[in-house]
Amino acid sequence: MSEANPITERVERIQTKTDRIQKLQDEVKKIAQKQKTADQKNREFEDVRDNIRKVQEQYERLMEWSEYGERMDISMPEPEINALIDNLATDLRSFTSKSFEDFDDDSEVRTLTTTFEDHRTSLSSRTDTVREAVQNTVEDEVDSVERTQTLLQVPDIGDDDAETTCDNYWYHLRQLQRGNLGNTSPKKWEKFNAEYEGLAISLNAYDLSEKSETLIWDLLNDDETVHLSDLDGETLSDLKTFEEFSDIIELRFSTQS
Amino acid sequence: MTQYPKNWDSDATGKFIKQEAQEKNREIFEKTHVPINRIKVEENKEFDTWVDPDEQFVDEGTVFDAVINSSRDDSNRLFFVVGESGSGKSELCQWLDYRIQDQADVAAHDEFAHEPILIPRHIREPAEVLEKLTEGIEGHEFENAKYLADLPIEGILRETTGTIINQFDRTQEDTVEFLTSDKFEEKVKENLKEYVQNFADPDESITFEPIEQEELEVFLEEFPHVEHEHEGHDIGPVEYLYKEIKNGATEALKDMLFAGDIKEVLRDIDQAYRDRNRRPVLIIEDLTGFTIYDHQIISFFSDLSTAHFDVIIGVTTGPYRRLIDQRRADLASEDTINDRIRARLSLTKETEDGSKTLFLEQEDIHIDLARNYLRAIKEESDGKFEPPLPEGITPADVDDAFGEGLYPFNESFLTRIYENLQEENVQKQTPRIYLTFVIEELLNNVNPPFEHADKLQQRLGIINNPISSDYTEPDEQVLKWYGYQSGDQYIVDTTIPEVFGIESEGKAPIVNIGVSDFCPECENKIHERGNDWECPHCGYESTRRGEGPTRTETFEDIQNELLAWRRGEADFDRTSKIEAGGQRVIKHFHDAPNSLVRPECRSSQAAYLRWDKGGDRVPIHVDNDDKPRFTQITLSPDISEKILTDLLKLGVWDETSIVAHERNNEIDLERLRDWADSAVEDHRAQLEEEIEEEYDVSLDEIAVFSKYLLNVFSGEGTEFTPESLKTPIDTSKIVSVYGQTDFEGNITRLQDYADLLIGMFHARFHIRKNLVDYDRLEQVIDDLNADSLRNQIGAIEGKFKGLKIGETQTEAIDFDAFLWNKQFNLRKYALDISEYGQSYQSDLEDTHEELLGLYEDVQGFEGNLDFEELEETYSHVDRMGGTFRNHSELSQKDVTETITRLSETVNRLEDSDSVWEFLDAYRTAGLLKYHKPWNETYDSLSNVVTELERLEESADNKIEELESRQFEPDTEQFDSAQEAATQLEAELEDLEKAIQ
Repeated sequence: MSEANPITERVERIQTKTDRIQKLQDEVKKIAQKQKTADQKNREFEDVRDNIRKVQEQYERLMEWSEYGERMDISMPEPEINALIDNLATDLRSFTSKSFEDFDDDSEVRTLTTTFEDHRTSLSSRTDTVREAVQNTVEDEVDSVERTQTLLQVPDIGDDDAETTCDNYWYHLRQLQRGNLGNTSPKKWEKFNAEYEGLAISLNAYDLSEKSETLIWDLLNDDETVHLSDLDGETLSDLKTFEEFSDIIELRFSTQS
Repeated sequence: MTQYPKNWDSDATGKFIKQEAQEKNREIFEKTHVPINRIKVEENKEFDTWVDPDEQFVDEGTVFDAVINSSRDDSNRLFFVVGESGSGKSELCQWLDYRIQDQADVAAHDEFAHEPILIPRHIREPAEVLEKLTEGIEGHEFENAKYLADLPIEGILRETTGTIINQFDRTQEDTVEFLTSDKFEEKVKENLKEYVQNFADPDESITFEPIEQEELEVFLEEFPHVEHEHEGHDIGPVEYLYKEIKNGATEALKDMLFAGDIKEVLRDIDQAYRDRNRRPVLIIEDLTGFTIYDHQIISFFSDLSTAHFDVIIGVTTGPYRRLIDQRRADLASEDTINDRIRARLSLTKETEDGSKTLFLEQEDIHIDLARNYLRAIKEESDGKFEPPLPEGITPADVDDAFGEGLYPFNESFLTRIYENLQEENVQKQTPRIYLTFVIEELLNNVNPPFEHADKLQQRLGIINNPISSDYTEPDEQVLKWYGYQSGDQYIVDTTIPEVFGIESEGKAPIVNIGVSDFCPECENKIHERGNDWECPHCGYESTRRGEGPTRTETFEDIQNELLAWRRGEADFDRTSKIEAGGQRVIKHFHDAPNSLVRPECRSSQAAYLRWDKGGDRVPIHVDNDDKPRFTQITLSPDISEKILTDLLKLGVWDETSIVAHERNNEIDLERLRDWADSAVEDHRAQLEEEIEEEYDVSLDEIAVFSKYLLNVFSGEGTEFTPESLKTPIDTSKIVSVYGQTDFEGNITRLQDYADLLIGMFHARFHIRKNLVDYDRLEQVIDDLNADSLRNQIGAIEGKFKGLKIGETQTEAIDFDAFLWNKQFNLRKYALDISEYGQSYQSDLEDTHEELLGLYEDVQGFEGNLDFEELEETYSHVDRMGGTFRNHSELSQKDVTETITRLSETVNRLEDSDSVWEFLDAYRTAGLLKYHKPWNETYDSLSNVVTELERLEESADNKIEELESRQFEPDTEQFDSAQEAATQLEAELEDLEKAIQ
């Protein structure tokens, strides 16, 4: 039978295909090696990404504290901050202008990771400086608000709105004081600050002498100490005239002079 | 003929032939009375004079003497006259009445004498009975008495059932419930209605039974607690209840009819007669009809010895025993009634066939009786013949020919009538039937007696007529009735047919008269008749005694019926003997008359195919214008007289061999053989016809289909020709290979039954085992083809009981089971093939594709491939290796053969134009695929091809898979890092813009 021999033909085909498989299998091995390298490199970029995100967070925090500082008219170290940001922008541009293949291996990627970690550290340091300046100012404001709140406890001084204004302002100041930027914002602070500043609280309704009024304000200020010697008879009489004050002003003996 | 010469008036016949003796006046009575001289005396305490002392017969005069043989002071004496209705009880009572009256009439005024009081049979109303009894005495008026016939049936029923219920106590709740049940009331009503209706008809015997004891017993099965309420009596509860019910009903009737106290009446009669120095002789013609008084009458005359009656009581045979038994049960002492009964006088005697009136056994008494009546009737008429006698025949000639005074009968005629008297097919020879229902009817009919007598079969049965049934001359009837045997002829005085205007030579041939018995020892003919003979050939002595009729008598008796049937005069009812004779003849000539194997078939492979109705017996049916319930060989009147009588002989003398019958020239065996052959042939043809009608397919067609089925499934091809069908098949070639197809036919069972199917074909078409009746086969399949036959078989319905088929008799199954029932079910194969015919294309395509594919794939394959190299491929593909090692030693020869078969099968599949051809082709494919030895090479080839195909597929898949593998680094993390950088960069740019 010289006709077609399907079985023999098939066997020959299978053998040819077996050779082809062997070749392909060699190629596949090489690809696998390359793949392995690329995978390692790729995995390293995960740290790069994480550090960039941390830098971003730090940058945003710095900007926020800086905004409070500006609104509180606190003096900022702007040149240093700008220099930091410029460096950061340069490194970012450098990175975004590269392709995956531009990085030879994973060690090169790890260098980049360190770069951004450094940026984050610098930004953090600068943020702390700004934050501390802001929080010092905030602390003074808290004292002021608390004095006002004490005074507002005297009948016929202030009203409910004033009390609410003080409470709101005090709340936001306390957030800043604690570093809780999430519960407030520079805009809100500025708004409540303006409201607080707008309060007109006086002791005129009690027909006090100027000395007496000053004394009371001093008493309200925790930082101020009033000595008995500071009180003249008229002032004492003034204060005693008014029941509201006589019951809440307390005399305390001090051995310090 | 409508008229014949009569010398009497119809009015005169009615005047003399009365049903009851009392309906005739004394003159007529005297003219027609024939002395009753054979009266059987039983329970005798009176008679010592006999006309026949051995039989204890007395005549009527002796009875008269006995009755009046009593003195004035003798206590009651009872004489019962017992006999069938119409046996002469009335005649005897009337005769005694006249004689006793005559004796009283001549007695002096103060002389002691007997005086009769006759209560005729027709007096049934209690009021009439009392009036009749008290005719001769004063002081009894029954004006207020009512007549039963006048009362409304509903009223009778209510009164009766009410009185019955009141027989019982209110605490007998179950009894009351039963008596008030619809069932009981309906029964009582039914019986009362019948009683009242019969009451007015003196011909009807009446007995008043609200419910019969047997019926009551059956009814009480539904009321099981009733019997408990009647325990503790001397008699059983059912009998007690029965008696109470009857007493209640009788009381009710008495109350309704206001009849008075019969015992008181009887006492008064006794006293009045005694006062006149007379002794009353009370003659009650029929106590059976005595309504409510029967019991009291018996009671009075048996209990009370203070009265002085001679009593003659007529009772019909059956009720007599009941009356006496009942009375005996009533009495503390059974002797009392026995003491009173002086004698029981029987007028009839029981015979094997029925009953006979004793006095008619007197020699020629039936002739005398007829002659007396005919003489009286003719004397009453003017004596002229009208129409006149034929010219040349004088009245004297008539008397000579017919017998003196007997015209229009003769002695032969009258004897035939008398001997054949019957009622409801039971012999009943009584004067009443003889005179009233035969003689009177024949005289009054316009047609001559021999014509009309033929129509009285109900009264006369079949008259003995040995004239050949082939004799059809007009004088046959005259000869039959008036003729007598003389040698081998039947003759009659030619004047007799001449009087009736019938031409006759006065003679006709007879059949088998004088048939002789056979000696059971040497089977020679015995020419003597009767029981006692000694065989002249071997000395055997017949010792047969009184065991019913002899064989000769039986033969002649049945032959008479046979001949009458053949003449069309009567049905032939006693057919068992002729049927037995038919069986003998058929079995003598045919081993298997019921077999439906073709008669010419001598093949040892022929199936047992037999209509087995009633075992090996050939059913024979005697045609009485009725249809047998199933196919039988029919004996019809048109079969020759000789054959029929020969068959009867062989049935009667069933212990004598057929050879002996022939040797003694008793039968014509050649003619019987012709009959048997023809009968069996017709029988088989009829069976085959009925089978075809029932199944709508013939046995031949079933056989052809069976063989064709085997041809196809054993590889003999699908040709539907005589050539192919006659080819023997090898049943081992029937193999079940269709499991992978949609064909549902059970080929394993076909193989199991293959020999039976072959046997069926042999039975119908083979002459010998290796010789087929080719012409017949060709003729049968001429109009058939495989598909039409398959449709016919597939449509089989119906049942044909008794037809069996089997390889042998012991293995035979019902043909129904073979055809369409569970056991084999040939029809199912036809249906399966038909059904598969709708869907086999799919299997055809698949199989063709599979085999063709394999065939193409193995082209050039020499079976010596080096598979080792291929094993290397397995290490590179996802497939287990090692398969080829199993096929590395394929024989080239096997491979070449298998490829050749494969090629042939593919070609056959391609040529398949019908389901038959596909089944045939698939069988070859199936053998290749599933059966040794082919399947091993086929499997190897198939597996090699398949494995190579799959290995190449795997290689292709592998290549594809490897080629698809490219360097495609994952940059996901890089991309996300750049995205974060870009985002931050943008934010920084925004700040810069804001600062600017």
